[in-house]
Amino acid sequence: MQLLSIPTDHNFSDYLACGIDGFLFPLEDFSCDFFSFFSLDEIKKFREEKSTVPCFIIMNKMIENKDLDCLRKTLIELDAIKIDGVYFYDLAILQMKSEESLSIPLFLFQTHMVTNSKTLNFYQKYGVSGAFLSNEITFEEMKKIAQGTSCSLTGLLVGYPVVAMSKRKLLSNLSMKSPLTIKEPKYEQKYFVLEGKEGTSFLYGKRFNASFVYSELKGILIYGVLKQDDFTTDTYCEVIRHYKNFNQERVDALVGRNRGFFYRKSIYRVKK
Amino acid sequence: MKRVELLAPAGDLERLKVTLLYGADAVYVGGSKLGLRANATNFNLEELKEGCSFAHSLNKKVYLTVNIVFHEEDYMGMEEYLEEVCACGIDGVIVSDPYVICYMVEHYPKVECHLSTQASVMNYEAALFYRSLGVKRIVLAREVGKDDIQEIIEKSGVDVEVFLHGAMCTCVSGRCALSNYVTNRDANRGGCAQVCRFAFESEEGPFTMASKDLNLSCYIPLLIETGVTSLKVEGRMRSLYYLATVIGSYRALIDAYYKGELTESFALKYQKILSRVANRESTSQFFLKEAGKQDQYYTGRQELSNQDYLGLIFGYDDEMKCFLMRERNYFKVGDSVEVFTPKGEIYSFEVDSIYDEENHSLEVARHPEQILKIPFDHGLPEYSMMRKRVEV
Repeated sequence: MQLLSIPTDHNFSDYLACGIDGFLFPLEDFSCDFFSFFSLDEIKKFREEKSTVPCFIIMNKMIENKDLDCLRKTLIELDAIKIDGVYFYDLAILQMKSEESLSIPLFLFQTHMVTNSKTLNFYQKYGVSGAFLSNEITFEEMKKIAQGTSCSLTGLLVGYPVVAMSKRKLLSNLSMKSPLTIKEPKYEQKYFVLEGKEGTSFLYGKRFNASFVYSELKGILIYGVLKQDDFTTDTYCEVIRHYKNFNQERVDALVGRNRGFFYRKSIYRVKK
Repeated sequence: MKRVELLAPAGDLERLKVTLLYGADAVYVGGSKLGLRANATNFNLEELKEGCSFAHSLNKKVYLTVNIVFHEEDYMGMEEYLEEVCACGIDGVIVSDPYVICYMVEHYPKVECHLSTQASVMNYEAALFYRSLGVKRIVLAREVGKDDIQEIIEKSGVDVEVFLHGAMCTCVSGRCALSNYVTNRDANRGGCAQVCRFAFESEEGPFTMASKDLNLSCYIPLLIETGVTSLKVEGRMRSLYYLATVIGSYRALIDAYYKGELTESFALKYQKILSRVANRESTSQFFLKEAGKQDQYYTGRQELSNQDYLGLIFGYDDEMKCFLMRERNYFKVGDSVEVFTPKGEIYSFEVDSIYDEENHSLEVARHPEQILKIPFDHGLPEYSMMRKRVEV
């Protein structure tokens, strides 16, 4: 398993020095749910300067008709600079890859909807190389998915899980500033609310940390993702270092012990 | 010119019959599993078969929701389930998972495959992809506006269904797991706890994000002229009265449009009826512009109880020359009321007498579920209802 960073700042060299293997950049104007975004020029510059470092792009916004021309041009440019892959949400990207005969590898990144192997196998037939698994599955489900597909799997190791996304400007409508921390009073859970060009995203207020199954995940995931979110450069470097030279105790001390849904199966029927 | 379809929700067999009788061209229903309303009554196979027969006898259609986001375990028994529901006579399935789409297209080519709004299609390229899989119709994301609807139809050539009326999610369908995190109920498998209607706290004060409802009754001509195939009403868990009123009103508005009789005053009457049956305020949401401040609530849940519905009419007493009704809400002698029927008839009158089942005269009706008799000079179709008069 290679470790990929979703950075918030630009201290890429520091993270490489700590042992990160590559980067997954949320592309400005085409992604959502992150603390910061990177322009196409910044990504091109990174590619030029660090041509041997794996470099992936996230394009996970809801694509509207008005975005399509720019999307097509952007995909062609990303293809030309031989980016290592695009993590995508909207199937317009898959359609365009086919229309333009692009060779760029695609990875399904549909947040809460990457939850089974049959769907992944379907996408594989349509040229998708891999997928970023949803955070809302159990560890057992993750293992079953891995058994059922030959798609390359990516998963979150560290970071605030994305909880929801709205096209609405939920903070500015209320004259509130982004980011905002909110609390659900009954369960006392905290969430971060981020508003950007694409709308409003909700992140769970406790970082997920997969350290407790790290050794098993190595046999399941091709890429493990460490999100910087609001970590300072120094703390994030520490996290990377302790994941790379794996030290669960140190990782947990820095990240916390939120195991997400790994051992907590969600229900959907509340009455017979 | 192909007429637009009015598509109604039906949480159970009775709602299916009522919505079809009140003018829906088709209904969408949930089966015993794999639908996104796991906690609704839903249909067992026998009811589904009866529902399909009833719909087909009226030359109408039934679509079944199979639109959960599948986990590994959900595929167990899926093939048998699809075989059983298709054998009941359904006309289409509403699906979000592309694997299931391909399975349906391959094995049941006569059953239409509709892409659920769960897939959140907002552009024509994605629509082209789904069309290439064999999807006959796409239920667009609720966030798509009028111009984009039209462009998607023109450039993809796929049939398009859009939401017309009902509750709105605050977040994008399929991109919301608030319910999972707050209540451990999986929104994408039918367990949504509507957390977007909860009130949250923040350092800057209360934070709420509940959406007002959608109501496009003012835009029927615009909607039809965009070329949409189907107009969908939300609400599989809504009451009979709500469904009868909403479907009956939209039937009247759509028919009036095609007859060239959709005058301002005609539209206003039905818009008023629709606004009274709602328990929340409504707006046009994303139809003409990005939804903004006026499309949301900022002070927690805002739901009003509606007392307009007075009762369900279920028979006629020839001797007494009275219709029989089961009371729902308080009314009294002298009240202005109206009876509305599945055929679109509306009879307005003042209640001059009320009788109980033993023909005792009453001044007031104050016991919900009580059987009452109200003088009326002829019988009324099954599922006619009585409500307070709506003044225009």
